[in-house]
Amino acid sequence: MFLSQLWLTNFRNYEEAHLNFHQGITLITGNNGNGKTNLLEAIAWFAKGKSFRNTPNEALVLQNKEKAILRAEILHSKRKTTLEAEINFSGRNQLQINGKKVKSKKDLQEKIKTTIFGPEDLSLIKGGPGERRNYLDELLIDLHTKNQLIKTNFEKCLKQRNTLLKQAKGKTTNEIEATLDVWDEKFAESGQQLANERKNLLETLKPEIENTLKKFTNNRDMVLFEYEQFWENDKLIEALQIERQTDIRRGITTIGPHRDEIAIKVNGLLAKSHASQGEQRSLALGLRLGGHELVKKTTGNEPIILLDDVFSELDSTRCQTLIELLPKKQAVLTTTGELPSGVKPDYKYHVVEGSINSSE
Amino acid sequence: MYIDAVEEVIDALGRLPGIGPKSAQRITFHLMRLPVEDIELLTSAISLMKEKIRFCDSCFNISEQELCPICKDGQRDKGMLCVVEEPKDIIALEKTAEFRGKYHVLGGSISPIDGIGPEQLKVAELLRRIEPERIEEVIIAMNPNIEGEATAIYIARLLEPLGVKVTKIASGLPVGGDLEYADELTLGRALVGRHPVNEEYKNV
Ligand SMILES: [Zn+2]
Repeated sequence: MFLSQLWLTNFRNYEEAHLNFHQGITLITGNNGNGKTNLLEAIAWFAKGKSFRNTPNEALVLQNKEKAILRAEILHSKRKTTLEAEINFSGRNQLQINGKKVKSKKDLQEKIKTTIFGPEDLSLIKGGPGERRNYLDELLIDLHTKNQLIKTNFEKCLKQRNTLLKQAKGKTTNEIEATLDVWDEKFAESGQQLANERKNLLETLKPEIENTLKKFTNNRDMVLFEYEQFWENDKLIEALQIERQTDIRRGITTIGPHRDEIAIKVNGLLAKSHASQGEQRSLALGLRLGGHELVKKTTGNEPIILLDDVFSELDSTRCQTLIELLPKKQAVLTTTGELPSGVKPDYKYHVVEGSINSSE
Repeated sequence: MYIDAVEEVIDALGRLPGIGPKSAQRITFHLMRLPVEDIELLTSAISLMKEKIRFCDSCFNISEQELCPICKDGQRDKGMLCVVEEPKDIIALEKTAEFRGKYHVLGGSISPIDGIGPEQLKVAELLRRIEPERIEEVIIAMNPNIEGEATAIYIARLLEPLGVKVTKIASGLPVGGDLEYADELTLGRALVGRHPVNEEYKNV
């Protein structure tokens, strides 16, 4: 599978744009703020069903327009598939495959996958537990689109339960207790499911990450990944009941998969606080590349690699290794500065304030 | 931004489901250009509907009289009650021709985000019907989403001590969708394949 064409209408700073894509490496150059990353964001939108920068719809639509339209042509062993997304300033997005309406972003996600490397990737290691949970959850969806439903269901239960707790204002009534009972049940059911999926994923992911890490680090560091949950497995409903009074008092759900952590340790020490900046960068790259390999192996579909200005952040050895690991299939990269010497793009685009010049 | 009279229409339309601020604005400007007769036709149709239509005293279906035609129909199976979220779900279920009992419209599902708790729904009214109407089976036909499932559990727990059999329409309906979007055949199959609710939640 690879992306062959992309059309943008009223998306970000692009009024109208069309780009041809090919297998191999496509380079997008241009000064900051001219819209390089917006192009990657457009490609990834189909795979994520949203902006990978988590930008709300209002900011994706060009000023004073009601909607943005993204269209992509995908080639899969010579078969053409057209994906279309109408992103509405207010209201629901409309999705289409080959001109036919589809209901869920899951349908699009089955057609196109992306692996994104960004300048913020270091936060996978340095940031809070939420960054690592998100990393796992996004990978879960890339692997099996049905996981989207597990994630959405859990998030909905969490939101409903939290709202109910807030409405209780620290006091409990029979009515609230009885309503909490049913939300506890749905929360525990979907939460257990999500946590199980995450743990299974982490197990299959470990060898992939270790493999890629070997290429970055010469020394024999012991890297460990542990899923930490602060509740006993299969006993989430009991944990919720134990914490219920605390939850009511604080107006928020204090236990569950939304508080779990993926601890990354190097030689027994937490990478978050103890690894050097260089080690942290290697680990972050390891997570991305390991995930990419796993999706490729599991789905038989190699995700399109999107590199958003990552070279400026890496030293030359890491740049070199990353380039060597780049897939032969399709990669799209943006850069403001010079490219590392080993990168030979097959196609080039230059972006100036929302207009695209081809320099193939 | 605009003069108050215009602003008020935009605001009122914007409160309707599925109409965002931009659509509200577009509709308002469209209305402004309409001839006065067309406007009168529209406003009187709305007022007339509001005048004539009320909710059935028993099941809360839409009705022109105290009781809706289904509640008045002596031919319907009296021991069976199907609980739905909205009157429009009754239309969908009636099309399947698989159900011959009566209905009870809750008026939504339990959803704290939308400010809907059991007290905002016709739950107490449902419980009050069981004994006098000698209901033997309650079939819960909520929308196939998390809120619908939570509401089903809530109702089942209240109904079971009353000695009534509580079933839920079978899954297989498109998840996350609405009952009204399911085709007749699927919905009919879901009705026939219903199963006791307690089997479901006691395993969790
Ligand atoms: Zn009635």
